[in-house]
Amino acid sequence: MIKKIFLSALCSIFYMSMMAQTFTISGNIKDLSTGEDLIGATLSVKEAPGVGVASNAYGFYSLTLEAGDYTLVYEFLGYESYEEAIQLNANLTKNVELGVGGLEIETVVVKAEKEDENISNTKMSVNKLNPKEIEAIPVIFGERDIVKTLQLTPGVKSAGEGNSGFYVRGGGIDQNLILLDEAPVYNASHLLGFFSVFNSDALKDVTLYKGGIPAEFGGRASSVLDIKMKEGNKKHFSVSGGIGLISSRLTVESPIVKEKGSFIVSARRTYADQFLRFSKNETAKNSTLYFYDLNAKANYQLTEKDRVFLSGYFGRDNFGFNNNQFGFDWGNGTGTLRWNHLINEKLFSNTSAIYSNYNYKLNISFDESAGFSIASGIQDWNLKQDFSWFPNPNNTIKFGFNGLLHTFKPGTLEVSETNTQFIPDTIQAQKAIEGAIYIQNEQKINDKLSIFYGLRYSMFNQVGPGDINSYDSEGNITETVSYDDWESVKYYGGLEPRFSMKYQIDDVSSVKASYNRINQYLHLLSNSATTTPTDIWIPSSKNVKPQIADQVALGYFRNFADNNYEFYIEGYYKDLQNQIDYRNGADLVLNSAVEGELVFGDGYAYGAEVYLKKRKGDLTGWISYTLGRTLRTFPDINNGREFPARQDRIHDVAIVGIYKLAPKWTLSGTFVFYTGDAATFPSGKYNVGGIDVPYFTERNGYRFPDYHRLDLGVTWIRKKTERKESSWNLSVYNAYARENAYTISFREVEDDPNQNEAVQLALFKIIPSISYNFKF
Amino acid sequence: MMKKYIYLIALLFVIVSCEKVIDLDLNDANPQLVIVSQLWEGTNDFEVAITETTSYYTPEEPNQINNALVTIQEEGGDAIVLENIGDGKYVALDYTATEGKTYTLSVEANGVTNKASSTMLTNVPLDDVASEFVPGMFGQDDGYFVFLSFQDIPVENNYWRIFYKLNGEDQDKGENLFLFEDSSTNGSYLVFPIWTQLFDLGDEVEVTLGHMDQSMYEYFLTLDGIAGQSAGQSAAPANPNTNWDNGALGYFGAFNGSTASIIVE
Repeated sequence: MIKKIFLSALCSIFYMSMMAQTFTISGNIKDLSTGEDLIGATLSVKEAPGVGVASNAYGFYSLTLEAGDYTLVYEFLGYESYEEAIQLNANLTKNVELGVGGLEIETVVVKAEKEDENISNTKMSVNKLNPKEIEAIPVIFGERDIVKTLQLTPGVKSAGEGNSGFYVRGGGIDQNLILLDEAPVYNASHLLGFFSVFNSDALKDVTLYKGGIPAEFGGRASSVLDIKMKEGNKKHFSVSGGIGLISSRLTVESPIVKEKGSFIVSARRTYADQFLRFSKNETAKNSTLYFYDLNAKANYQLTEKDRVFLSGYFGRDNFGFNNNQFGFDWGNGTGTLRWNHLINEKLFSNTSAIYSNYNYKLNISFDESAGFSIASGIQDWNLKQDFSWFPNPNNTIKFGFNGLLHTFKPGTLEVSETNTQFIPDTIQAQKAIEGAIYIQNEQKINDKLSIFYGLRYSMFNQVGPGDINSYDSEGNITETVSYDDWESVKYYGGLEPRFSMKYQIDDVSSVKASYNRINQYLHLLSNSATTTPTDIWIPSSKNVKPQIADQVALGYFRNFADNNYEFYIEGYYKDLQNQIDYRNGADLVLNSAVEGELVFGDGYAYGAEVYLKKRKGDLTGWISYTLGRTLRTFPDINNGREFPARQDRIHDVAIVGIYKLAPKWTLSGTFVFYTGDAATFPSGKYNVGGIDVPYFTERNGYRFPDYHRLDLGVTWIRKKTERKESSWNLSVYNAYARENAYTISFREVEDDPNQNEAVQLALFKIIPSISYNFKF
Repeated sequence: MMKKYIYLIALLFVIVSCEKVIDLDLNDANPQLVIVSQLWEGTNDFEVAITETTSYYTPEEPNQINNALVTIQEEGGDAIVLENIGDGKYVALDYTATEGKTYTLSVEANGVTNKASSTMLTNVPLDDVASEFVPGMFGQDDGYFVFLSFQDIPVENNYWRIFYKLNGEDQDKGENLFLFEDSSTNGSYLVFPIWTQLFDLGDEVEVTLGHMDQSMYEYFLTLDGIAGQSAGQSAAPANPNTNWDNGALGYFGAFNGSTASIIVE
């Protein structure tokens, strides 16, 4: 059956392209006011219902039709559509700009936004955010954060109070591939996770793939968070920014040569530590604590067919205690150089060279004779080639390959000159090559049925130089083998089929199904309850097998009341192989035999997600509900019995409401409820030489109390014209001061040492914040 | 040690946090055997304590096991039976433990036999103890660190637990658990403070540098993870890695100690 579909699919690709007298309409779709490329804008043809194409990540589209007279309709959600009648008797280049509305456009404009995209699109399990759309949602410390907004959508769970780490459909934090302009970001959080590294002022498009992940992506088992930066205003110079209690942001955009190139530079810095200067305490005065982000991007149209982009991100956290007696800094740097080339009007090529780096450094010098520092990091060089081919209206084919060189620097211990105690030490760096080749096609079978299928072959090769250990089942080294430069230590590879399909029931509803397999070759080691900068990435190796995820999903999608309401329900089942956990007391920092501290097992997750969104009117917002379980089985943990993963939250509800009270006033509110995390608590106690010791009987057998919280916000637009805008935003995090447990610990009752009690620590009660945002 | 610093950052957030005692239902596990014993170098009364686990919240004393058969055996020597002296305690009077020997303690109780072995390592002399003023940080009071210094032996992989008494009283609570290993400092002359505690002027501090084997270090390290200063940081707390071979909790360890005292000034 599958074979038959595949063959007929292949035939249709070539049959269509062999038809005589066809011509191609191609070009770019852009935003009218800023010149930004629109991703996923669609072109349809009035005379041929069901025929259409969507613009790719660079705003490029291509549609091939028989010669004739047509009315082209360009649409993009949230924009006014654009119609134009054409006579197709030769290949045609059509660059189109769409406006948000209220602006005069010369040609005919009809109000018919692309509102049923969620129904008609073949892709499923996708959460898309428009950074602009989320502006009004209240957030902690007044810092807008796309990751925290994503946590309010189905299937995505926060890693904890105020934390920007997230779990997707029961997967781990390290199973999310986070791409910023195609560059992987290895540690996506600042300040122990309270802020994500993404400054939303510089972002254009945020898409999270939870399932049915296209073959063009790979490398992480659970999800892909694809973040694209703005290109910069092509029309005129503009400045925007914000001043908040914690940080300030400033973004500058401008054309380089009008309509040909532009750039954007966006910076953010926190200044909580500046308040320390006013402290009377000398130690506090001499301490620093801040982070900053810098995003920059430039693009230039070299010729009609060639365009280059250069983008980069650089961010760092810096903590210095008492004149750097203890200093700690960490951060990511990424760079992407891209070249778009139009080979012909049907074939679009993009070549990217990508660099990504994460490192941390920690230094301690309380005593002159014991000054030392520890550094660790990971570095990537990646070369990527992608083609988009638009052979005919029913098929959009993408194919490509990439090669990646990883360098892992697990740790270096450097000692100061005056240090007489410590011995410098470097755990040897490790190298690995990762590669992939893929092809995928989005194909319309008929008006109702469309399929999206692809195949990816991924490979990973751990290479020398290095002394590679083998371990026994207890984690003791059994042998060490030396490898030469580039000598293969261990090769892994595998086929990853991807498939999704849509069946359109009627104009307002559809069902979709998907399957994907993904191999994950990198693993994050972290054994603390929070995300810390010292978490380290390790490669798959002789001792560590790649993680493999298989996921199936089924969904029903329905819009109501003239696309006013969007609704879906999706169910998923995910199987996870070769998951990683740690031996008791595992030491992950500066440990040359760290693989011996790991234990391996399997897991699975399943659940259902329900989403209802109101898109229009004075009141907008959504309700998201996820019912999910995620369980693990490790021979070495919990006596081999199945146990829930920490993120096994059974119920997870988020309600988001934005109410336009008056033209200048917007009220907003967010309510979150979820089942408490699974946790290990004692089921008994005993005494060991004066120390009161808890006795544990099972892993994650208990639960934290349920979590719930209400946030409120109000935005007052002081001034708004076509170009200038300024507003004040006041938000209150945790408005009813719910004391949600961040940690639960156990201790002796102070005046009765024989008695124990459970103590919860709640991080934040009510946190009000205010910020001022501007644009001109 | 590293972790402690990372959590300094977290402290900044803790300033706005709040703590409260909560009602949390915990299960009552079946009672498990707990055997705890330290063997010190030289001739001392050697003691073993045998109890059972209790329910977590109960204020009652744990059940003491007084009908066990307890024997200690030096490698190549005869097994000596310890005498029960009540309160779940067993003793061998004037027992001599010698450097370089491995000792095996065997306990037959509740129908099961548990055995554990530990090796008496060399004595590493404590050279000096000194105190130094530390200004308060993040709202904590000023205090004094007590530094100890000694010459690490050239042999690789040494493990110590630092025991200390304050004004004659054992500081043996979980938060005083202080461990040290020399993987980054092998063979150096070492000077470092007792991180776990700040002392006051006039305090009398007696420090013992207890040299122990790797199995003991692993026990105390994993114990620290659930009952010491590192407690609560792990996402997956588990029972300590004991050297008992048949399900008992606790440990049997051999220690070779060197002691020095100071009055903080």
